[in-house]
Amino acid sequence: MIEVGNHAVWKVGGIVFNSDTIISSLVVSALIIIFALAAKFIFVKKEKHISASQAVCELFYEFSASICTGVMGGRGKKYVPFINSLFIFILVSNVFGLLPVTEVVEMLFGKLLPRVIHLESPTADLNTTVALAFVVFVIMQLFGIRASGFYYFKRFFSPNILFLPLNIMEELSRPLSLAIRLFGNTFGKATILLILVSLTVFPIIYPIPIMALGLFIAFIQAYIFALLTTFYIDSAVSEGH
Amino acid sequence: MDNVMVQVVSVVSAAFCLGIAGFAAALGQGKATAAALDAVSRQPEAKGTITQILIVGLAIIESIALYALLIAIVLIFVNPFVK
Repeated sequence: MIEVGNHAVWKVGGIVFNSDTIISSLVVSALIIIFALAAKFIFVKKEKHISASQAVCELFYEFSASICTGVMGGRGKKYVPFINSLFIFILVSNVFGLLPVTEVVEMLFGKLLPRVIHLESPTADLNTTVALAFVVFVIMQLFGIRASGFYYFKRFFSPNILFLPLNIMEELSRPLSLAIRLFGNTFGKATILLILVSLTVFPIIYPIPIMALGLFIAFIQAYIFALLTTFYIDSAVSEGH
Repeated sequence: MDNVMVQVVSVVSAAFCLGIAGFAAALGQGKATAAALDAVSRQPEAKGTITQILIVGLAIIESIALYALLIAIVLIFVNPFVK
């Protein structure tokens, strides 16, 4: 568990949990699951004319599918669900940081509830991004082993055995840079907003350009995470042939 | 007194670390973007491929600056030398 910035914590039996990150990632997951269920049962119908909501759902799929097939060609179809889940989770979590969730809850139920935890976007916590990068790292090795069996480990010994430490370093630096990139961008944006807002008493207009930039960064970071994951999976899968 | 000196040096070196790395990464990203613009203006039909390669290249260049950010965060928040 790595601490940067202030987080409200729960201590359960000597283990520390960042409560705000856990709650916000649960909220994000719930939003995505509700949207996915609605997409499956309500939005997408097998009719001749495509409705607007179905077009939005297909947009998400088409985008991830274009990333996969653009990098890997025809065999990239298998990896679309994984890349799509990563992309949507990161996109929604990045955008979640721009919503005034805590403020609205406090305004509506301020008298009834005890003081709520301030919800940031889950990706502004290093633990979330490290977990995502760890998932990518493990699944990359698994895909590589599934594609070429025992010959997968040949990539660590290429061009010869002297390069083993270098290859291992390169393999480990990939998830590290994935995690730090996502965390650094989201956390940096949140910090800039916080500093800008704390400069005056009544901030209302001038944080808007930074928030617009943050919306752009949220999309670009999700895209880069998905694209780099696809590249890494591609390099792991195409080894050993 | 010893501890204060270590903290001062840590903060200054964190600032220098991020400043130099940011300078170098910005220079590299500017060069890459200029080359991509050149390529697009010469061959507008290859715009999609060039954009994809450009974004991956920018992400990899950016990771240098991000390693510096990591070092700066370690120096400021979880400094191993401050007792």
